[in-house]
Amino acid sequence: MDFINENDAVNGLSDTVIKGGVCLYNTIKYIYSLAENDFYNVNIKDAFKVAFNNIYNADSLKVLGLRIDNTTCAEMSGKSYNAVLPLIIYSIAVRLPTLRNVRNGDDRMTDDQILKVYNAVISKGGANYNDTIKESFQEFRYLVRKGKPLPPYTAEWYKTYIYTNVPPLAEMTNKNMFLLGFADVLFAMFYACLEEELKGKIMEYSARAYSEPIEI
Amino acid sequence: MTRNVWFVLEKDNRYYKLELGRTILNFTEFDFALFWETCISAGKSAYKTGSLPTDVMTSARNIAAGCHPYVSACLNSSFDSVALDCIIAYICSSEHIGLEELWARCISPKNNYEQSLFRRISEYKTGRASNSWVNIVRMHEYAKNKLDFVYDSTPEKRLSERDVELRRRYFDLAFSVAANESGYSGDDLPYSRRYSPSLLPGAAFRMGAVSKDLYRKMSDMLEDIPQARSHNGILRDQNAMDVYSYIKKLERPTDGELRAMFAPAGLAPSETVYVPDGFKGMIDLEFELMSDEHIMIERCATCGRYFVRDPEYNRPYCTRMSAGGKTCREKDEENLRHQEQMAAMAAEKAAAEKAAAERSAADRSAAGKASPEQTAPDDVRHVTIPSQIEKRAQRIYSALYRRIGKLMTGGEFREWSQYLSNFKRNVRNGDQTLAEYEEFLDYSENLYDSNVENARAGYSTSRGSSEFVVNKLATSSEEEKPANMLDMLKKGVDSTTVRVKKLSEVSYSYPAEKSFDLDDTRTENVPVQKTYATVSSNAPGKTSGEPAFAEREQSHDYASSVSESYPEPLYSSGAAPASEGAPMGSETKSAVNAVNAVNEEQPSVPGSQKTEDGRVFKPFAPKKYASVYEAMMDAKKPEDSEEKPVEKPQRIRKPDWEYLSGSRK
Repeated sequence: MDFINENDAVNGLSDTVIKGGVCLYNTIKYIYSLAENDFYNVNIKDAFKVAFNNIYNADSLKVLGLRIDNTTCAEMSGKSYNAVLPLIIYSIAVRLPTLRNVRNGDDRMTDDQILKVYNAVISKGGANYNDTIKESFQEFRYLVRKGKPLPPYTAEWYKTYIYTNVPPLAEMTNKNMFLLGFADVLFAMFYACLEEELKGKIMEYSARAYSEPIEI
Repeated sequence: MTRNVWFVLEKDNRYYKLELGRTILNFTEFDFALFWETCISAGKSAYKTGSLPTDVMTSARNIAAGCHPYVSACLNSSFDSVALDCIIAYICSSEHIGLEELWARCISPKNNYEQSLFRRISEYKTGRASNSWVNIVRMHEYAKNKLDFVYDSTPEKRLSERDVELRRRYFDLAFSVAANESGYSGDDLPYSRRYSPSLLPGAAFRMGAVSKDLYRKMSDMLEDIPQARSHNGILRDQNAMDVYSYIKKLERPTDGELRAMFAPAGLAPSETVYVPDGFKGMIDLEFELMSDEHIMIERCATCGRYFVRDPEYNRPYCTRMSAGGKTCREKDEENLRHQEQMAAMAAEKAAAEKAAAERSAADRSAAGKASPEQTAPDDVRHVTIPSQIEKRAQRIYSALYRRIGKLMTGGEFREWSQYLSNFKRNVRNGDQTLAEYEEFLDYSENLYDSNVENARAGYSTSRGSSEFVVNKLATSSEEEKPANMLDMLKKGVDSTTVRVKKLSEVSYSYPAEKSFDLDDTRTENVPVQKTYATVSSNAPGKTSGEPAFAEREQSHDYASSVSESYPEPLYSSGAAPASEGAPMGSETKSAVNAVNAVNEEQPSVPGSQKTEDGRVFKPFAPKKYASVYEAMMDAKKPEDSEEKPVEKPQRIRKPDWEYLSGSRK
């Protein structure tokens, strides 16, 4: 794809992935805090709406009265849970080959450009601790190149990780069950929103006017 | 009369004053227009600039704070965003959208203004706040309705404290029933709690000086106290006793020390402090305390607004200034003064009239004459006599008039014409019917027709008419006699009656001066002839039985004279019209001579008297009669037998005029 400035495009897209990852990480915490005191005060649907409309700014959820602190999210304050953030970023990064399907007319991102974005994301903080995430960049690139169906973005790896590495969250509590329940919906829908955001960014950095229809 | 009470908020250490009575009136009459306009202007400015103008918002909040002390007290807490709430309500109402849509519009806020809207609506959505502006408006309506329900009254029917208490209880109970049916428990609805200052929540901070002193003394006992864990309401007693265990060995200071500790500066402003947990609780508290303190609110009879009743001024007028620069009370006092002046003037006038009447009566009694009284019937039902009947009566009148001296004497004609006049008046007044009137006309017509025929035939004229009257007398029951024509026939012209009702039944259309000022306790029957007996004789051209013009004009509504529509009678006790040079035919002259001859013989009305100056009057003193019949008999009695009891006669004497010439035996 012809970018006005390819480096800016790579940095911008990698920043979007990083910000999205951070936002998802914080959104999980905010919604988890909901179960502390506001289970019947805050509508989870409103929380999702706010989160999906502000995928760079999870703090928008504060307007719902949600707070992230050691009282409401004490179970998420350990070191082991902190590793979730690079994992989230990594989980998004390995799916970057799907950006190849974003077309501006007949122009699309090359594998080399996508790889540069992936490397930039990994260098900024993505990591796959203990091989928690089974998918890989190469695997997705292959599937996209072959046009095969892609696996959906789910919270399976997240649940596996906290079951095995974050004992406070692995306990059978009301809050933890709530976490496992909303995580499935949150991950899938958040990734869909982030993907839309990435498409917009690509068009933004594209040299060609994007008045033509875009195909994915 | 006002009394102040003090209230505090749970999260505030300050005391706030509540003026009983005045506060609720101020709140219900508060005009929120300025606040509304200020908020809208702030919203429009924020829409353009992207941020809310702080000064305008602060100004709006200060305006809202003036509506009620509770709003003022909560201005930094629950009513902090009242101006923003007003803007939100305005946007929703003007754009016809709901809060959800406005929230969705602002979900990705682009400026501070949208961020403010989004944050505030999110607070609504999550139950952390409600629209305080809408709350104020609804509370305003609640207070007004409750005020109307409890204190609505009229100047005629003013409320007692008991009425107010019962109304208030009924209203509050209705609210409780509705709340219960809505599923709200007592904890869900706002109430006010009463405390003494030492037991207030947070009293340790509100009475800080004494508390510090206490803490210093108790510091040994309060060391190493574990922080409270349970905030469950069920465990309140247990928590309290846990706390009590730390002051179990508290030593009592001396009374002097206590007095020093609780110096005036360290005391609360009142022995009783209230803690409302909502605006409604505050309003209800004021209503309740007003009842307890015997503070009454009532509606002003002039301006219709509520005011606190002054126990020293027991009239329903407020002290609000009106546009004229005077208070309703001042206006009322002016009215009272004016009424007193008018009453005094009326009393003076009545006294003067009474004195004049007494002087006149004294003069008359000195002259050996009794003073008649002008009477007038009160109850007049205006029945219109059809024109053809009027014309017929006029024709009969003219026919009989032409036959004066031939078929009847002048005196008989005069009696007949007076009877006709009275009959007509009674019909107009509704005391007799048109059918009776026509019956009389038939009789009269038959009278002169038969007279003409008899005259032609050369024998008695009124055979048929005599038979009519005799038959009438025979067939009518005694109960009917006073009310129908036959009574008047029995009684004669001078005893024609009119019905007088008591003054309270007089309608507005009735001039007061025409009212019959007799005993107004019951319906009376008064001989109408007595009314007119005196009036006329000093007026040239009038009969002694008819009123003078002025009196006739005065009594026109209730008793129009026959002579208004009939040719003016020519006979007179004074100067004869003939002497005034009017042309007069032979027939007329003979009639005048006949009438004058009759007039010279005796006063026209039985019982009337003739004065030296030619005035004819009948002494009249209003009396009560059980029936027209009694009145008639009373009129028939000789004056010297007034004291004798009235007895029902065995036989009724027929009036003289029934025996017309030729038929008289």
